[in-house]
Amino acid sequence: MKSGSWSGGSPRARLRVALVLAVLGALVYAAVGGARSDAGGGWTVQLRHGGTFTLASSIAAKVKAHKPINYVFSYGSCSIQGFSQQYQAGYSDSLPQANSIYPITGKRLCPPQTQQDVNTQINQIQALLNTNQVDCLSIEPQSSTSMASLVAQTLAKGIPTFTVGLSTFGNELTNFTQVPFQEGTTAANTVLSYMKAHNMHFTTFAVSGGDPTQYWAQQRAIGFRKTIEKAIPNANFVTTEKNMLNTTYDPGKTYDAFKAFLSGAGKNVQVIENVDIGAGYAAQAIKDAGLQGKAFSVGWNVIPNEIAAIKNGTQIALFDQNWPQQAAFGAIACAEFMKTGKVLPNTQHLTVITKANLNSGLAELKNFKQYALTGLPG
Amino acid sequence: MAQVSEDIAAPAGRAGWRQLRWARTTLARLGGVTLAVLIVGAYFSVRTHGQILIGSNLLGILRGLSSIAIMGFGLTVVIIAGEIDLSFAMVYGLSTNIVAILWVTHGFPVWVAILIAFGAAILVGAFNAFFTAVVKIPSFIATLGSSTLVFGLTLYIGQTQNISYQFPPIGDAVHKSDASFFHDLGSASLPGGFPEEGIWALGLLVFFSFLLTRTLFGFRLKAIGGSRAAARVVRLPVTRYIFLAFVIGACMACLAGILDFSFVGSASPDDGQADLFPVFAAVIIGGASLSGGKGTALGTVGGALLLAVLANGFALIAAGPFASQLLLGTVTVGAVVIDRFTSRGATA
Amino acid sequence: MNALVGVSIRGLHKRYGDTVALAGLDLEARPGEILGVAGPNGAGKSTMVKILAGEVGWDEGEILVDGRPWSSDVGSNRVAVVHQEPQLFPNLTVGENIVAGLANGWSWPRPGDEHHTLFEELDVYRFRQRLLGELGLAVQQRTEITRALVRDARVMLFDEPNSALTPDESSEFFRLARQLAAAGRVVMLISHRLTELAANSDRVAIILDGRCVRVLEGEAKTPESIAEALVRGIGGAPAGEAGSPRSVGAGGDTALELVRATDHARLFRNLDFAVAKGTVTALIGVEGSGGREIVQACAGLRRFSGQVRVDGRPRRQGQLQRSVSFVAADRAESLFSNLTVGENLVIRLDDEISHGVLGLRRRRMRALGEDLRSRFDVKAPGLNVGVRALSGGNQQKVAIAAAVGSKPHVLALEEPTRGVDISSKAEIYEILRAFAADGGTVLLFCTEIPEVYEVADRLHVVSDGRLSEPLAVPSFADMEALAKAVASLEAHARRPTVAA
Repeated sequence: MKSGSWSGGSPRARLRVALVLAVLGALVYAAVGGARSDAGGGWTVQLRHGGTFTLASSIAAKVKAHKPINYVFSYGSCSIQGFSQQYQAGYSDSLPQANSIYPITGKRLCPPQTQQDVNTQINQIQALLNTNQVDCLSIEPQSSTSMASLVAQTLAKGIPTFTVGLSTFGNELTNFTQVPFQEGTTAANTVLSYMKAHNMHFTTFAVSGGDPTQYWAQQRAIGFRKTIEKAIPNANFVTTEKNMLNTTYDPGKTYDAFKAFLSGAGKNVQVIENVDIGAGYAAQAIKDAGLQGKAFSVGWNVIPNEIAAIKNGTQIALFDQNWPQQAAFGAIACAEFMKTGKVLPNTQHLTVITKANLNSGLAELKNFKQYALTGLPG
Repeated sequence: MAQVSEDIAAPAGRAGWRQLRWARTTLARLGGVTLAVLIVGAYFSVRTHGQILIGSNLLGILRGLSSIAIMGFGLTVVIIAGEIDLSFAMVYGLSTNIVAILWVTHGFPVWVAILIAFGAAILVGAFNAFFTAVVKIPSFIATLGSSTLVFGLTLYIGQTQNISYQFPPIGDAVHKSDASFFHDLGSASLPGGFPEEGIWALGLLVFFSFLLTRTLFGFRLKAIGGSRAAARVVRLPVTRYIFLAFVIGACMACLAGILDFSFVGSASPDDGQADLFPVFAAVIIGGASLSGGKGTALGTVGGALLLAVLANGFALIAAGPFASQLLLGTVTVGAVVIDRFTSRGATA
Repeated sequence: MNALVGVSIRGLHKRYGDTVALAGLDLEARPGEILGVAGPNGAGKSTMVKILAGEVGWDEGEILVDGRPWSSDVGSNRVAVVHQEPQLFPNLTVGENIVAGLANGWSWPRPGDEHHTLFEELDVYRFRQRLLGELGLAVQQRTEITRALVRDARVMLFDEPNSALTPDESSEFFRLARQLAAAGRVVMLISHRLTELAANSDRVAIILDGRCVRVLEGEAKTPESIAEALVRGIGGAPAGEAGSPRSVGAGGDTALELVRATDHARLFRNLDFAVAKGTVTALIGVEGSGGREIVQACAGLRRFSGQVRVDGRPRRQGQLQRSVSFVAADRAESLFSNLTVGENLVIRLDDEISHGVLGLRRRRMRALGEDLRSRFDVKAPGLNVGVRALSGGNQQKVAIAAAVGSKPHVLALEEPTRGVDISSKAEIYEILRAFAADGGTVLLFCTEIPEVYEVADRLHVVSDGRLSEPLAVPSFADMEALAKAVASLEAHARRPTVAA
C-alpha cells in the first residue's frame, strides 16, 4: 500500500476532509442530543464529608413503581490472583441476598489487566453511565484518589455511590473497608492476648511487607507499633514503618529476605508483623533457623503456609480482610437504600484466625454469608 | 513489457475511469480498519439495543480513544522511521509523577512542572535515539532498557505515592488558579459534554496528518524508514531524524500523561503501563508497518477507535474479561488480515 | 527432437493481474546440452524460471519433465535455481546454507571425489564457518552455485550466475556447467552477457514478450546475431553500433581529485587519483581490488584519510555530497521500495521541493518528477505507482535520473547496468554520455568490459588498491582488444603508475 501523497490532490483531499467533518458533525449532534439533565426529586441524606445527596428523580420514580434498579459494581482488576476471585464470588453471592430486600439487576465491570488501569476502569463505568444504565454504583478504586472526581460526578447526578476496599478521598455514601490503622491495632491486640495467655514477655519486634510504601502497609505497621508501645513501654522495634523490611511478593525472595534478616539485624526479634501475605515464609525461616518457640510471626490473608505455621505454633495468627464481604456490600447497601433510604455504615472488621479457632474460622470465611453485615435490619 | 508500453502511450484522458479506480483504492485503503469498526459497531448496536449509539456514549468513546491516539501518533512517527519504542508507556508515568511531585508536593508553579516533565521526556527520547542511531543498538533493546530505567526513575521521583491535585496530601497546598488551569487542560467543561481530550486528539490528528503527508519532514521520514541504506546514499539526515522521531514519541506520551492526569485527577506509580499494548495495537491495526516506511495518523486513530469501540461495547454488555480479551485478540488479527488483503488489490 | 527426455514447455501462459508475463511460451531443453536463454528484462525469463522452480503457478499450458507432467514435487526436488541476486540465509554460515533443506546428510568432497576440483575452484570451503551475510556478493553467489550442485538436481537453471565472478572463476563455472550437462542434466543458462552465452551454450533461445521467437544454433549462434534478434523486437539500435559519435572528452580540468588517500580499511593506500571534467571515467577491477571503494570514497560514502578536491578546491569529506551524487550497485541502496516512482525521482531535491522543512510543494514535486521521467524515458504507468512495479532496467533509470536530477558536479555509479536489459542499457549509456557532454563528470566502477566499452572515455584498471595508466577507450578497435589490454594490465599490475 503506497502513500497517497502524490497525485490526485484535490478529489482525495476533499473526500478526506468531508469524511472528517461528517464524523465531527455527528459527534456534535450526538453531544447536543444526548444530554441528560436530572433535577432532584428523591430523598436526601447527609454525605460523609459534609454536604447532602439527593436521589435522582428518575430512580426514585422507579422505586416508587417497585421496578428493578440497575446496580453496577466496578473493581480494579479481573485478574489479580486471589483478590479478583474472591471479589467475584462475593459479588455473585450478594445478588440473591440483595434481591430479597429489593429487586436489583447487577452488572460487574473490571479491567482485564493486572496492572493498575485507571483509564479503563473509568471508561467502563462511564459507558454505563452515559447510557443511563446505572441506578446505584459501587466502586473499588485502585488508588485513594483516582475515583474521587468520578464519584463527585455520580453523586451530583443523584446516583447512590459506595466505595469498597481501598479507602478513598471521595465523598461517597459509605466507604466500606478495613481501616488499616485499626487492622494494625487488632493485630497488636491479638499478639498481646497471646502473650497473656501463654505467659510470654516479648520486647523485640519487627515489621515487614511486600510493598512497604503503600498507604495500607504503612498504616498497618503504625497501628501495630503504637498499640504495642502503649502496652509495652520498653518495646524495641528493630524495623518500623519507616524502614520496614521489604520482602517483595516473590516467594523465593520473601523467604531469603527473612532468612537473612533473622541471622543479621533481626536475630533477637521475637515477633515479626508481616503486613501482607508473606508471614508464612517468615515462619518457615524462623523454623529453619532453629528459632521456633523463640520467635513468632503474624500476617494477613489465608495462605496455606500461614495456616501450616499456625498449626505448628510458629505463627500466632492470621488476619483476613474479608474481600468477599467487601464485594458483597454494594448490592446489599443499594437494595437497602432503595427500600428504606438508610445508608449502611462501614462495619468491616478483621477476621482473626488463631490456632484456637482455626477450623471454625476458616469455615466461616468460606461461607461469608455467615458474617452477616451488621446493621442490617431483619 | 508490451502491455506496459501501451499504457504509457495512452495519455491519462479517461478521467472517469481514473476516479472510479481511485475510489476503489481509497476504499481498499480504508478497508481493514473501517470495515472492522463498522462490523463491530453494528454487532454492539444490536447487542446493546442501540445503547452504544447514544450521544454521550459516543463522546465517551471519543474520550476513551484520545490518550491512546495521542500516544499512537508519537509511536507512528517512530515506526515510520523504521524503529520501535517500548519506553513511551513509562514516559507517560514519568510525566504524571513529575508534575504531581513538583507541583502538588513541592509547590512549583504548575506550568513549570509541566515544562520540566516535557524536558524529561525530551531527554528520554534523546537517550533512546542516541543508543539507537549512534551506538547502533537495535531500538527494541535500547527502549526496553530505557523503559525499565524510566520506571525506576518514576518510582524514585513519585516515591510510589498516589497523588491527587484535587485532594492533595495533608500539608501540601495547591493554588486554586493552578488547579483550575490544570483541570481545564484536559477536562474543561465544553458545550454538549464534548470531551476536551477529544479536541486534543482531533487537533493532533490534523497536525500529524499534515506533518506526515505534506512536509519535507514526513517525506524524508518515510524514505528513511523504507531503506536506511538508500537514505544514506542520498544523504538524508538519518541520525537527526531518528532523534526527532524518538523525541516526538516521548513528548506525545508526556502530553497524554498530563492530559489524563488532568482528567483522572490522580497520579500513581504504574501509570501508563497498561497502555503499552493498546497503543501498539492501534498503530499496527491502523496500517503502519513494523519494518518501517509506512503509516498514517488517520490509520492510527482508526485503530484506537476500533479498540475503544470494543472496550465500550464489552463494558455495556458487562462481558467478563475472558470473552472481551478473546474477541479483542481476534479483531486485532482480523483487522490486519483484512488490511493486507485489500491492500494487495489496490494499485500502487 | 525426443520429447520424452528433458524439459518440454508448450504454450505456457501466465498473467499477473493486467500484465502478461508469458504469452504462449514454447521451449525445449534437452539433457546433455546447455540451453542459453536471452531476452530483455520483463520478457518472461524470470517468470519461466519461477514456474519451473515451483515458486509461482501458471494459467495455461503444459510442462513435461522427462516425459512426466510437472508437479510441485518435481519443482522442489528436481529443479535447482541459482539466482541473479543470491537468495540465501544471511544469518547462517556458508556451510549451513549449503546443506539447508537437504533431506540427506552431506559432506565436503575429498580429493578424488567427483566435483572436488570444482569445489576447489568455487573456493567456498574456507568460508564455511563464516556468516553468509558478512561475505561479499561473489562468495554468496558461489555458495548458491555450490548449493545447486549439492542438490544434484536434474534441471539446473542459472539466472545471471556469474555476474560477480572473476574471469577465471567464470570460465571454471562454464566448464562445470558443461560437466553438469554432459552428465545428462538439463542446464539452462540465462545471461545478458552475449559473448559468454554464444560461446558456452549449445543453442540460444531468444525470449521476447513472453514467447520464444527464435532459437539460434550452429553458425547463427553469435553474439552479434543474438544482439540483433534481441533489439529487433524493441526497435532500438542494435548494441555495439555507435549511437552519437563520442568525443574523448574535453579533459584538461580536474573535476575531482583524491590526494594521498588511504582507505580506513586499507583497501587503497596513499592513492592519488584525478578525474577529468567532462569525461566518463571508469574503474574496472574484481571484488576486493579496491575499485568499488575508490568510487565510494569519491562520493563521500567511505571514510579515508587524505585530501579531496572538487574543481581544484579542497573539500571536507562530509561536504562531498553537495558535489557528487552516487548510485549504488544494489538497488535496495538506491531506491526506496516503499515510495512511488515520482517520490523516488525527487527525493534528493530538498531545496526545490519544499519551503524549509514544513512546506512540501507537491505540485513542484509532480512537475519535477514528470520532467525527469520523460527526459530519461522511464517506462512507468504513471508517477504514482510503487517503484517496485517497474522492470529492473526502468528502476535503474529512476535511480540514475534521481541522481542526475540533483545536478551534481560528478555522477558516481557502481555497475550502472547490472541486471538491466539490453535496450535499457543503451539508454542508460546515452544518459551518462549526455551528462558528460553537457560538462558534467561521470565516474564509474564497472565489472564488465562491454559496459566500459560502450560508455567510458577513460578506463583505469584497479588492482590491489592501485590504478593503472588510463586507457583511452575509444581508441580500441573492438571489445576484444580492450579486454586483452585490461587483462594484461591486471596480470602485470605491480608498481602504481597513476597520473592525472
